[in-house]
Formats: sequence, structure tokens, C-alpha cells
Amino acid sequence: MTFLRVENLKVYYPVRGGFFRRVIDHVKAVDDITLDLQPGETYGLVGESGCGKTTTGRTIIGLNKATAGKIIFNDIDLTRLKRRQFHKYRKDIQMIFQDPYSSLNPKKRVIDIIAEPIRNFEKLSPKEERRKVQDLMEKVGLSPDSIFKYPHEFSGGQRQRIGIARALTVNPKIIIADEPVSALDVSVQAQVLNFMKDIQKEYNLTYLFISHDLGIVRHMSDRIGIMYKGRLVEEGTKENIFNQPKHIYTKRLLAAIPDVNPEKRDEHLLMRKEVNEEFERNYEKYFDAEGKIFDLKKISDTHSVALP
Amino acid sequence: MAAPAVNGNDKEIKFEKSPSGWSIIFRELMKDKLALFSLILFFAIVIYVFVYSMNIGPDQIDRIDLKNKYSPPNSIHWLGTDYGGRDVFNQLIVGARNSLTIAIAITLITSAIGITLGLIAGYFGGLVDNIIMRIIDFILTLPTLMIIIVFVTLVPKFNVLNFILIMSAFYWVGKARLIRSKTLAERELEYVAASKTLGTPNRKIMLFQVLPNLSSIIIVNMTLNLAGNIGIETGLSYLGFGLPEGTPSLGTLISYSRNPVVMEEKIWVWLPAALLILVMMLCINFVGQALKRAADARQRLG
Amino acid sequence: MLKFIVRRLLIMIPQLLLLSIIIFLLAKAMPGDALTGQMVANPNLDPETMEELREKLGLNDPWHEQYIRWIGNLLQGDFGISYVHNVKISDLLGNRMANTFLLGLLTLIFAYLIAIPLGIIAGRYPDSWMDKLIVGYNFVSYAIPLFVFALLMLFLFGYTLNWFPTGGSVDVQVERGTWDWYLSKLHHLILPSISAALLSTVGTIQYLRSEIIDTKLKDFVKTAKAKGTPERKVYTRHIFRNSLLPVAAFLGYDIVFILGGSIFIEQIFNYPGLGQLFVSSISQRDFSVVNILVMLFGFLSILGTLLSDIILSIVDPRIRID
Repeated sequence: MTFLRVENLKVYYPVRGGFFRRVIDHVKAVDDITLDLQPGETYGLVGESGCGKTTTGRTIIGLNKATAGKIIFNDIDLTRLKRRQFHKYRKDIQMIFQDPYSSLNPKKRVIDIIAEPIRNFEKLSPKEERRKVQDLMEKVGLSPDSIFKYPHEFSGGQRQRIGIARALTVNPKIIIADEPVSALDVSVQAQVLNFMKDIQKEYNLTYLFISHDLGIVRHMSDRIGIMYKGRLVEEGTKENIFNQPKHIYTKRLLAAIPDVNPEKRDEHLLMRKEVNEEFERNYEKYFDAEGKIFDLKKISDTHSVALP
Repeated sequence: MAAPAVNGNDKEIKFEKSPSGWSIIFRELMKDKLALFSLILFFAIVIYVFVYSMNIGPDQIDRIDLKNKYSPPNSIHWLGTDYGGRDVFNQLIVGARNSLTIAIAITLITSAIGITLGLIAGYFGGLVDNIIMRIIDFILTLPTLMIIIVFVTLVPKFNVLNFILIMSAFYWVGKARLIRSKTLAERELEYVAASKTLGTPNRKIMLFQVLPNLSSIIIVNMTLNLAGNIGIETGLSYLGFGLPEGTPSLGTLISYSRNPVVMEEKIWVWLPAALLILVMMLCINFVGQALKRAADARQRLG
Repeated sequence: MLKFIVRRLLIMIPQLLLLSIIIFLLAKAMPGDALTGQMVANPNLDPETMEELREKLGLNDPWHEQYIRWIGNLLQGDFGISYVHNVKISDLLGNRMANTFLLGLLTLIFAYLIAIPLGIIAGRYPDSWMDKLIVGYNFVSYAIPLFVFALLMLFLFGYTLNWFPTGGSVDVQVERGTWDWYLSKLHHLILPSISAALLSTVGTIQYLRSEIIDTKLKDFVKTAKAKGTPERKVYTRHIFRNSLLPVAAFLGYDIVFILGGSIFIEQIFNYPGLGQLFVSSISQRDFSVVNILVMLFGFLSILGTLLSDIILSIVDPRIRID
């Protein structure tokens, strides 16, 4: 069962130039992407910076406008909805932002930050509202007594928890997590990630997990899509991607993961060399004449790759 | 700002409440002795002027006493009298009240326009921004002072309200530009995107999310503007294009000095008004600069 | 670069057009027209002849036709006639334009002579007693309104100390063109221009000071010091050169500021320039002259802003938008 489907999504930005600043070209941030989210799973969207993964996430939640394509949720195409109609679905899709420093308004107290969606979607008395905020604070592992503090009084990890609490207030079904831990110290990354896994079970959440870090994605995801230059190059289950990578770009990404075992260092180096050679040798096999990525093709029930 | 949604006297509250942005600014002000002194002095002047002027009826200002033309300061006329034998001190107080009231009104009106348009232009961008910015750019290149003077002489039934409106029509642009550029920077921050995903309407995001983050800039700007507006109003009144006849301004008192005899020998007529303007301007600017430092975390005194 | 200047010039055209339309419409709202002066000179004109003349002069045409004719005349240098004095406006402007120009030029020179050394000193020795004094001066000059300051200057140096004349642009008794005449002119100019200059330095001083303080911390300055370049040379060769260039860009904005201030300065020092002409014309309801002056000042402000924008785009390529 699919309950969020992104179909042929394109997000283009105009490039203006010349004397009259007419549109002379487009930057294709997202160029024809199709993906499905199954309820309760975590879909990892991976790629280097600038590959369009964040744009994809932000378009799904309505922060960017889709140039073409559909985003189907509950059989309704969200890209066609007017702002007012979209409001109904807002609470079902929520987002965790990358930067826990700028994503919390510095002038607001924690209670106002977490209660913001409550005030938009529910009518609660101030007392009920405060109780709910305190419950959420407890749930994300923060002291319920600190709801009148300002964000700058919390650490990065704590701030990210506040961000998660805020996303949870309206009981969403899908959470788009855009690099949720990349701004955090490595020491607290695992904490936040495990906590995200816990609440996923508790709330039966579906994650679209956007990251550049394959290690983290492997830890979090059930299925993974690899993005490159605005297109998907490979998609499959965690095992598909990590054990049988088919596209050269996926292979290169995997080869770039540092190996902590020093005994295997030479082996690892050899593998990287091989991958690199294959890339140079077989470039035409993976990219068409204009250097564009091919469309995805199914090679098994769960595994697709962009090959001719 | 950012008042919590619960009522403060709830008994079970034992929360750790942190100082809000305002109390930080206030604390900074307290540390700057000169600014504090300026603030107190300015408020003392304002209160004195407003309270005292309530005791002065219009007849006390206008009463002409030709026997007492240009009488120097004495026990009845603390600051002497002018060419019509009218009491200068009374005119000074009423003039200061008028100048202050008008400057405050202009500051409030231009702020309302400037903040609204600046927020809209900066927040939405695109076509709206383009239109608003073109208007601003155009008004900025106008010889504002001259056009105001032309308007002042053209408006039939010229009165104080007209004067305030004419001034406001031209002096909102700087503020709008400032607010726009700050909003432009602010809207790129993730908390704005977050508010959108949380279903908060644009209007509310502008007013309750972005605006509080601009509050310190606005306060500083309004303070400095108040000083600027006093200067412009008194300047126009000095030239004879400010407040209408019968509404004394500090500028009107100073304009008596255009007569060389008054300038040289009857300094009690114009000098007190000039000095009062100086003192008020310095006070307001000291406070404004201190607020500016307080608002800028890097410059705080600690 | 050229593209930026051309684009900037093109933006100027609609600005000027709009300005002229606004002024023309204001003029239509003003009482009196080209015949008012005639009427004063010749009170016996009967209404019928007036109406005929009006028709002949095109004063009954629709406003846009009149506007186009007016603009055409302006472009050919025909500014029209003063309704009150019944003389050609261009004759009225001549001398005063030179006076205002002279005053403005001297103000600019004094402003830079004061601002640049002070800015450099403040930037080179921040937090020294000299810096504190300069910052204090800057603060006060920002806070004081120009007309109050100019008035106090006039009172002190003109009336009380008698160092400078208190009005006019030249001593009338001195023969025109002689050495004494030029000296007298300068004597009349010094007090007004210094008064204006003292209040026109805020931006430059502030900019120079913070720019020099910032530049001192930049890597290329550290490199120069590390190479063993003497302190003096580091300043003259590396820091000042970088910081002084943008100051040139303020020139246009300064001109606009000084132009605006000239209305007060000329009125206070009773100096026969354009600003004073404006005030006296509007007091006498001589609106044809007022119009031309507003147009002229508007044109000069637009030109000044343009000048600064172009210089700035040469000095600092980052702000160029193309």
C-alpha cells in the first residue's frame, strides 16, 4: 500500500540573464523523480550536496513549488491544491529541519514554539495546551519545567528534540527529516537517531530521511534512493543498495565510506581504485550522450537502477 | 513580547522563566550612565512640558502687550517677551509640546506604513517587492524638502493634521527599506519555513514570528527617527513652512532671529528654543545609540 | 561594467519623466499661470483679451499637450518666465546658480578635508583619546539639526565675534573682478560652507574608521606585516588605499545631502543662491520659478545618486547587478 507517491516531480528554477533579464535557462534542481512511501517505513534519500534531495523534501511539504509532476497523498494531488485546501493535509506531513539553531525562533519561548501548530489546528484552553506541551517535552526527554525558556538556553541536541516535539504535536503521519543530525556533534547524533526510531514505533510514523551520510542512512532506513544531479540513479532495499549496488555512482558513494578496520585498509584502497577505473572506462554505459542520467528500470521486485 | 499563553498567577507555576529580550535591553541601558541620564532628562523635559502647557491657555500665548515689547527676562517673564510683548517662556513650552507631539505622530505614522510595506515586500518578494521598491526608490530621489514645502503652501485650509500627513507621506521610505532588507534576511531562516509547515498563515508569520525578531531594530530606528522628525519639523517651521499661524513651534521662536536685531541683542527670544532643541536631540540620540548597542549582542557592555 | 552604467542610465529616464509629470501637475494645482505676470504689469487688460491670449498660448489645451510642450521648452533651455518679476527665469537663475555651486563645492572640500584625516586617525588609533573625541564629534554632528547649528555658528562668528559677514555673497562696495572682490567672495563663503561641512562628515568618518579597523585584521595586511613591511608603509600602501576608494563613492550622496541643506544654509546666511531663491519665490507665490527649481534640484539629486552608484560599482564590483 502506498500512501505518499511522488510522481514525475520536477522543480526547475529560472536563470535570468542578458540585458533584459529574460529567462535564458533553467536549473533543474529536481528532474523527474518518482518514489513511493509505504506506511511505517523509513525511506532514505541520499546524495551529495546540491543533488536535489532537500528540494524534493521541501517540495513534498509545500515549501517549494513543483514545476511539474504530482505528489499524491490519500489519493489527492497536493501540488494542485490551493493554499487553503492544503491546510487540511499540513498536519499529516511534518518536517524536522537540518539546523536546530535557525529553525527555532529565537524570540519565542519553548512553549510558544511547541504550541504553534496546536494553535493553528486545535482549540485548546491555555491550561490544556500547557499540559500537552509538557507531555511532549517529557516524551522527547526534556524537562517539562523548562517550557518558559528560550531556545538559546538549550544545546543543539536538545534544540533538535524541541523541533521534533513541535513536529509531533499534531500527530503527523509522515515526517520529512532533512539532515536532522548533520548539524549536531557526533556524540549526540546517535542519541537523536535512536530517539527518532523510538518515536517512529510509538507514533507509527513514516519517515522520509534525507541525508548525505550513508552510514546514518543505513542505520535508519528500510529502503534507499540514491540521487544525483536531480535524478534518482538507484533505488532499492537497504540490502539491495549496500550488497548489490548496480550504478557506478552508488558504488562510488559506497566506496567513499571510510572503513574503520585498519587491517582491511589495503583491500579498501584497491576497491576504490577499481571503482574509479570502472567509472572512467564505462562512463558511457551509465550516462547518455549529454551526460544525463537514464530513467530508472526495475531489475527485481525491490531494486531499480538507472541504466539504459 | 512572547507572552506565555498561560496566566502568570497560576499557583502551580514554578517554572524557570528566562529574561525576555526587553529586559536585556533595559539592563543594558541601565549600565550606560550617560544614556540613562539622557533618558531621565528627556522624560523630565517631556513631562514638564506637557504638564505645564496644560496651564497655559491660548490667550496667554497670544496676548499682545505692546508696552512690554522685547522686555528682557525678569521675574514675571522668565525668558522675556517677543516683538508683541508675548511671554517667551510660555511660547517655548507650548512650542516644545507641539513640536514633540507632531514628531511623535509622524514617527508613529511613518513606522506603521514603513513596517507594513517593508514586511510585505521583504516577506513575499517577487512582484509585490518590485513594485514597492520602485516606489521607494523614486521617492528617495525626490527633493523631498522642497516638495513638502510646495505641498504646505498649496494645501487649502492648512492645519496641523495636514502637516503631519504631508510629512508622513515622504518619510516612511527609509524605514520601509530598512525593514525590507531585514525581513529579506529573516525569511531565509528555517523558523519561517517551519512555521509554514506547521500551518501558520503568512499574515501571522509576518506579525508574530518575523516582526518580534525585528523589534530591536525598529525601536532603535524609531528613537533616532523621533529626533530626526523634531529636526525636520522645527526646520520647516523656522523657514516658515511648518506649523500654521497660531500654533507655535520651537522653530517659529528661532525664526524670530532672522531679524538681525533680535539675533544680536534679544537673544532670549530665540536662544532658549535653539538650546532646547539641541538638548532634546542629544538626549534622544544618546538613548538611541545605547539601544543600538544593546540590540547588537556583539557590542553589549557585558 | 558598461552594461551596468547603461542600465542605470535607463532607470534614470522614467524617474525623470515621473518627476517632471508630478511637478507639472503640481504646477497646474498652483494658482496663477503665464498671464498672471502680464496682468500685474498691465492691469487694464480686459477679460476677453486675456481669454484670447490664453487660447493663443495654449493654456486651454488638455494637460498632456501642455506638458509635452513644457518638456520640449525645458529641453531647449527655455525655462519660461517668472510670473511675479516678469523676467525670464534663466536670467533669474544665472548668478545664483554660480553662487550655490561655489558654496557646494567649498562645502565638499571642507567636508573631505575634515572627514578624511579624522576618519584615518580614529581608525588607526581606535579607543585612544583622539578616537573618543572624534567619535564624540561624530555623534554630536549627527544629532544636531543643520539649521540650529548654522544659526549658532552665525551668531557666534558672525554677530558676536564679527569674524565673518552675516549675509550676502560679496561686499557690494568692492569692484567686480578685482583681487579684493574674490577675497570678499571667499570671506562670505567660509562661514556657511564650514557650518555645512562640519555636519556633512558623519558618514565618511564612520565609514573610514570602521573600514580601517576591519582592514587591519585582514590577511593581506597581516602578510605585509609578517614580511617586515614598516608600519607606515603598511598603512599607506595597503590599508588606506583599500579604505579610501569607497569614500570617493560617497561623493554623489554627499552632493545630494549638501544640496538639500543649501535651502537652510542660504536662508540663514542670507546668501543669494538657488535655495534662497526657492524660499523667496514660494513666499511670493512665484510658482513658475518654484517649479523650475524643484525640477532642477530633483534632476541634480538623481544625477548625484547615479554618480555614486556608478563610482561604487567601479570600486566594489560586488554590488553591480547584471
